[in-house]
Amino acid sequence: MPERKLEVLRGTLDLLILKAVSWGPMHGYAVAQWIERATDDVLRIEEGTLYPALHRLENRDWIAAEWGRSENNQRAKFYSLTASGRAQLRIETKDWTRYAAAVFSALEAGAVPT
Amino acid sequence: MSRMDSTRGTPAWRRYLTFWRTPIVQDVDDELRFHANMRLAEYMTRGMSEDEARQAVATRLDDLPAARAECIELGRERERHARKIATMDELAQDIRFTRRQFRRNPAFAALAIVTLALGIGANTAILSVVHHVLLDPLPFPDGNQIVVFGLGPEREATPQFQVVYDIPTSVMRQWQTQSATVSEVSAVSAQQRSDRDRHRRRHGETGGYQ
Repeated sequence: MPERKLEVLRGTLDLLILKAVSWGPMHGYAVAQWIERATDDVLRIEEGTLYPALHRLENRDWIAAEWGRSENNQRAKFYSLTASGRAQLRIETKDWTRYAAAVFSALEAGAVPT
Repeated sequence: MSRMDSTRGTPAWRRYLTFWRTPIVQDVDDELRFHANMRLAEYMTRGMSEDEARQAVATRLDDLPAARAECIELGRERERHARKIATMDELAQDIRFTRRQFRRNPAFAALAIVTLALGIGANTAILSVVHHVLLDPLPFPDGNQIVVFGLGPEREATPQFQVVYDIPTSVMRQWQTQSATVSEVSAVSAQQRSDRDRHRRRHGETGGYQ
């Protein structure tokens, strides 16, 4: 029986989206695919949170949207990372790494010696 | 993963133009429909029949209407923002244009500036006179609490001047010592009276200031 898929937390989703589009312009479906594949299918991306997140990042000017043609020649909206988005990605990557390390070390720690 | 044919180097103003031309709702619908189509294709390549795949997509995307509404709202927000920036741009452009015009035609610029200066100056002068004559407070402390009153039939009272009849000195004294409504009462001697009671002209105390 496969392990249950984990829902992505909202703040984390923003970070993963920025990372995904840092590889080049991508439409929403490709972003979801990339995240699922890059996390070895551990994370499950809900469309209901993915698209609002994309639009919110667009409003913050971290990603820019443009209509184009997909690989199967359909009209699709492509997102790409902006300069401020790249800066934000750097910041959030650093923060997230520190955060995860902190939580992990807390989980590994023994009882406080008295 | 998919890549778009590169269309870089779009001038900034083109972005605003396309903003107003693209209907937000339709854009969101197109985007989500594209996503559903891709999912459908994905499920079918995994071996589902078309009906099964459609069913699976519908189940998977059942929370999409809420997301759609949120995306539309976010799109409107984006449009408002872009419109604001465009307005500011236009204003800046107008200012630049005006400055250029003035530099090109200094005589006209001088005329315009002088006209404006005269207009503003005249207005200020007139208003300062009006202010002193009509709007300034009375030159007493708490000028807004001063009231004028007097004796006479109510129907002859006007909002401005209620003093109609002479007030005997004894009444004045009584008001001055006993009034609880006002803190002080004083009177003026009326040298000029209206025509109506000219026949009764004599010196008298006809009213009071608090």
